[in-house]
Amino acid sequence: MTQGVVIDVRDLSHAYMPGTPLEVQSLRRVNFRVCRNETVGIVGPTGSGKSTLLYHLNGLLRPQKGEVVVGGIELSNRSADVRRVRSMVGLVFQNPEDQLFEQYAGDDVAFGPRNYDLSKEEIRERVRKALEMVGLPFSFKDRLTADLSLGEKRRVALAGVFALEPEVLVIDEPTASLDPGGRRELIEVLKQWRKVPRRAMVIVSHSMEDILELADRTCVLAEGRMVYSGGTGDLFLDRNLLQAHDLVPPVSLQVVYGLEDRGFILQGKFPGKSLLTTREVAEAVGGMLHGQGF
Amino acid sequence: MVRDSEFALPGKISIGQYIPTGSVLHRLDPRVKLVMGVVLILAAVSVSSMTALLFLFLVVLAGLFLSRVQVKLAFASLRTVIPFLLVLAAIQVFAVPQFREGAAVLWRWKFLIMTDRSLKSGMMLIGRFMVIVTGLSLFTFSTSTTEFMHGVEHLLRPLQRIRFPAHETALIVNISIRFIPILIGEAERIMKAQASRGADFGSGRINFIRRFRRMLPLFVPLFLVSLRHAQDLAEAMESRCYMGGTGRTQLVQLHAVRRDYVALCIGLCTAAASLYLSYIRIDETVVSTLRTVLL
Repeated sequence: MTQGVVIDVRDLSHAYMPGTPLEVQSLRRVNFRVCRNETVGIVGPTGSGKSTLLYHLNGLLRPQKGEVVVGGIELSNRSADVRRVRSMVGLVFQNPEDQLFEQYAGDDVAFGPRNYDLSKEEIRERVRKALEMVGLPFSFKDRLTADLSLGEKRRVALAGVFALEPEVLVIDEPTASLDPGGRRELIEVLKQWRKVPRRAMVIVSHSMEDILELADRTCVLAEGRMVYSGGTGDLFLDRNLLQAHDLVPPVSLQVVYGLEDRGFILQGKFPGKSLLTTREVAEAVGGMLHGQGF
Repeated sequence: MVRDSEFALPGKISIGQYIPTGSVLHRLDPRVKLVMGVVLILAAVSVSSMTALLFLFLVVLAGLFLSRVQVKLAFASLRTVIPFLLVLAAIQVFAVPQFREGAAVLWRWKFLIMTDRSLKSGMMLIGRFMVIVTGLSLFTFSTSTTEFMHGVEHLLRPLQRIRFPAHETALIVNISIRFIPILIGEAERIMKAQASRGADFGSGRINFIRRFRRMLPLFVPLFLVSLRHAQDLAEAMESRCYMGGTGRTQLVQLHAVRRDYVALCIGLCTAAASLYLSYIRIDETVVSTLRTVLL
């Protein structure tokens, strides 16, 4: 398993404006690891250090204390090849659509590959593949970015990162401010992207539904400390843990816990059966109601 | 300080940052501080000797100690302007022809000529800017933008009689100041996003034109974002029935107390003393010693 590690963060601490009265300790001795073929979720309240951690994953911030190793490249080493790290780890920011700057969608998608001095044909091919991956036709490259809808802009921005052909996708709040349809489409795009073997994904989200749907493993950050790291299901099925970290579970589990409070224990009744998604919960509740003669 | 990122734009920390320490200087009436600031700048540009500048600098340093803000923060803001200052001073010292007439040449190499007059004006230039920059950072360390705005508005109020829009001017100044950190933050965010797609802002080896071209993609989103900020702000103000200055009363009423008058007196006396000190010139002794050493 250790040979599959692509990102290894050890004892990472980070302070903003160190040595001034405005110093803020953002990360405190954080350990974090991402392996190939897995999706890791990061949750935690605003200001808990999530974004700071993300910035370290592709060298936007260099470790002040501790180590960050990405694909074998040691980022605390000042002469590390950051550009290679950045082509390996694609970072999608919050509201990435704010940052489209080219007049045409295609040029914006091509920004990354052009920075890496690829041939014209290769750039064209990458733009085509990237647009296809986010579910847009190649002809979309000639659309004016200013005329696109929010969902389309976000997909173009995502294609801009896909065009770098990263091995790890790091994505911050992917579904924020999208309508339900847009959210669904985006999640499908992400699921499609990670189907390719050896790829890994790190997703930060306040939406527990997104985390439940995408993340195999979830880490909880609170005040700069990594307070939990383990299976996403294990986290959401442990009420004490959720309460201890001030997390509100996905709606499906809110139903399960609501029933529990009224004396209907679902978990014990269906041993060995996963009880996480809306569908699973609905089946369990349905089964119970049938048993009672409904 | 550990340099952990190529994007932390320098100067953001110290210039224009309010640092509340609750000192005497912080509690002064902002009008007094504004007047003192203007007087200090006027004094710094009108004095003609190093002694006077040294005196002004010492007064600013004393103010800095009074404000209980760490001195190194003031020097951090100086550090960001020093490269520009050195370039300006070098031009002044070596390349301005009007200092060559009737002046003693101290040093020459090809077209670069250093005379006693040019050396003096170069030193004065650095001294002036050091006084002004430290003084301005002292002002921003001890005055919040709200206080600053109240101060400006009160000072401009007499001009309302000749229909000068005092309130609006103060508001415009205040909003512009408020927007600086926001825009710096946005610029940083956009640079980070573009760097993570392989754009290269960091290394200084690429030439100036290429560097400028790399900055271009930064301006478009920055412009869009700031326009949106401006629109949001305008809408928020309108939805709260903002109508401008006419008939508007103020929650904060500024009342000058004794310490404000004392401070004002000290400020004016400092300026007067610095003008008096202009007549005592140590810089000429410095130049003449240099002359004897070099010649």
